[in-house]
Amino acid sequence: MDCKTARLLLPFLRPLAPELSPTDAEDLRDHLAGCPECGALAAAEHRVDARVGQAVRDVPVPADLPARLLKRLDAERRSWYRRRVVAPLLAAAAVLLATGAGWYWLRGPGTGIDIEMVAFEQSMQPGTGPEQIEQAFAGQGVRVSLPRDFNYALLTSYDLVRFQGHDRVPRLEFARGEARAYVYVLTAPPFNLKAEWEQHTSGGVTVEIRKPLGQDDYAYLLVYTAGALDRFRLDQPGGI
Amino acid sequence: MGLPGSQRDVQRLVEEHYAALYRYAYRLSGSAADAEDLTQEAFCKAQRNFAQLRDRGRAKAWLFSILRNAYLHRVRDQRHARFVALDDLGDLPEPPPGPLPPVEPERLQAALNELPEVFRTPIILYYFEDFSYRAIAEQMDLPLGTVMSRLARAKAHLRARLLPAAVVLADGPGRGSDGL
Repeated sequence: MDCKTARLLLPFLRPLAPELSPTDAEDLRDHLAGCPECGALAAAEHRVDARVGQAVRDVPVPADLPARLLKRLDAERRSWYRRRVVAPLLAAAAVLLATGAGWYWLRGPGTGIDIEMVAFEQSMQPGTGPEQIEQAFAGQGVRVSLPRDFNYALLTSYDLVRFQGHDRVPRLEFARGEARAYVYVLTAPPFNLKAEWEQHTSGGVTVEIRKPLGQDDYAYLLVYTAGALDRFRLDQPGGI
Repeated sequence: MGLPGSQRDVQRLVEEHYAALYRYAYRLSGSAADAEDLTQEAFCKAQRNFAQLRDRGRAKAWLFSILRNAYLHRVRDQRHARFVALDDLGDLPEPPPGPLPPVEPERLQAALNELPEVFRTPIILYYFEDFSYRAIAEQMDLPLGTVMSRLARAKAHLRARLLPAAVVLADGPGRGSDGL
């Protein structure tokens, strides 16, 4: 190996990071051993590199650095699990809970509250007459004719009730002092109105059914404090 | 992002490489606080992306690469920092004869700080000794010849700063330029 080649290869002769093939490294070492100029240059280069390299590597490392690093890494790991594992699980649980609550609400044993019906039942206004009540019933899908010979100033409530197995039967309630009168409007069907009924009194309450003249498809069932029906009627000729 | 590395794997990684990584970060950034931040950031990224490390034998190079990227990300807004103009330096001067003066830590770091990062990184890795030229080239994604050239210039700069008597063939390094 000549001096020119040796000086070109010199930077590659590194003790800890060998860059030359074993053959080239051996040839170079042979040349440096036999050539005083190249040998001195290599020694000087090595000396300077060793001095500067030692200084570059000489950085004091804080003794507690590994502990701080591991603590931070542990916190990061926990945060990762919270974001990637715990949070999705909680979200899934929330969805399940919401689904369950929805199912319970839809299928649960409780009776739904009909807000519209409550408003309808509580909509009594002073001076409400039979026409307004018929319209209110019609608004609920129930078309009826109410008796005109009652004093509607005594009306205390009207609603659709369950009566002898049938829902949505119109009922009027009148009150005067302690006396009460209820009027149920029965229609055919579902009720059979072709029969004849006699008045029946029991326990201070009288029950009777009256059919408007010429009408077979509806009738009024009257329940009232015995002897008090006239107190709720107008003096005008009625349809009952 | 996949599962983070197991606690045991990451702990081993820290125990084996924290010191070298911190020293590298210190020489890159020039400050102990930044070095610790960078080391923490590098290990956190390594933990999150542990699945990318297929060959445990390359863990050190992988960590150094992560740390350098973290450093570059931090300093990308500092492109207008003023560095020495290495074009003003001549060839690598021959070492001076006789005993060498001691290298003062502050002067060494100041000299490193004067180098643009593309020169500072290879010279630091070079002096860490166990990084081959090829490994440095892979770290920096550069051709081997470019790495050799930058190393020679960086060495010349350090010798000019730390061993002034050696700079007999070169002009003094210029200041006030953006670099290369």
